[in-house]
Amino acid sequence: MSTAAFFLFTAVHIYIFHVHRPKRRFRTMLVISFFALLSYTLGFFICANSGFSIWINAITPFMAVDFINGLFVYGFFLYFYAHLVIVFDRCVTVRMMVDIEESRDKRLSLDQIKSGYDLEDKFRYEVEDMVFLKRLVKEKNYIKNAPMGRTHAKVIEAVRKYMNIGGHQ
Amino acid sequence: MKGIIAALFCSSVCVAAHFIFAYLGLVKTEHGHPIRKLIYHWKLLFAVSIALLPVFLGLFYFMEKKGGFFNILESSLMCQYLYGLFFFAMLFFLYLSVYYVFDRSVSSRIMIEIENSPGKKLTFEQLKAAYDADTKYLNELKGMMEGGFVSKYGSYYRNTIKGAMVGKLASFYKRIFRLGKGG
Repeated sequence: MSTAAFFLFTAVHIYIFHVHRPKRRFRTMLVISFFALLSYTLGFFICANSGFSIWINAITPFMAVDFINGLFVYGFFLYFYAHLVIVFDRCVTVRMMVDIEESRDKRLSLDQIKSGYDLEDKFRYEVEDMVFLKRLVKEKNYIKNAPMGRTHAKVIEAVRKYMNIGGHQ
Repeated sequence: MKGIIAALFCSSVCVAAHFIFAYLGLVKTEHGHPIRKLIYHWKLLFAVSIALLPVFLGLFYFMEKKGGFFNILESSLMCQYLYGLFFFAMLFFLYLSVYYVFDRSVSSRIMIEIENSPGKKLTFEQLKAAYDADTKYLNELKGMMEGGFVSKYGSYYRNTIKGAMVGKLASFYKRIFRLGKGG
């Protein structure tokens, strides 16, 4: 049921972002997920009180499902933790919050943020990383997309255009 | 439910082991490319998680044989409902992490700029010019204000309580994981 609710969320999210271009994207996603969860709750209790859940339980190999669920949760927690390490290391907003928190008066102006955190360094790291990951190649003074980088760029750009996202650059 | 309990136990041990290894300085931090320190962390985490798989299997079969309390827990309607909520949250998080790459990733933007340039190649200076740094700073700050992480007082930005907590937590982990200033 929760998988069905998630697919409902994804479909509504893609539709709304493609057609209506919401201004507050994250908030919109939260609102959609709230309604998807409501539909999950409704679906769950309707199934539990009808013959449907008895039928599902009769054909489900419980031990195998439980084991696979466990492996999925294990994998998810490790992914979540690894993702957290990336966020702490790479996220622009986290870096700004750290800089503000570590400043003397715990406040910074835009110019102070810019002087403490130079985006040129950020670019340089990103380019170096992508050369290492074979997404980009350096050719004399120029930087070019490698075949993998070209595919990556085309896919991302197509999704960005379709869903009207990517405007935070 | 037994698989989930085993997973919760093993992932907690795995995270704790990684944290201790990082704290003890067993993670290399000096590398040529900035991404290598992250790859080293991932490799360590992967190795610990594989090493813990027999523990996961052992726990799972122990609970399966033991039955009793675990079977009662498994048949509880409320437990099943809560697991459904948790499963939705997991899928939502996985989706958000992919969405973030599509919406915000700096590296993706760099590849798109190169792909859309006339000769399909750019110098570092051309790349910088194509990517307006001021807009990036202001948009990030705007997003943080909308999310309630910072607030603006005159020309200054301050962390809200939520922002200060994230800042302190990130600062703590950056130190433990020896990630450097990052960003």
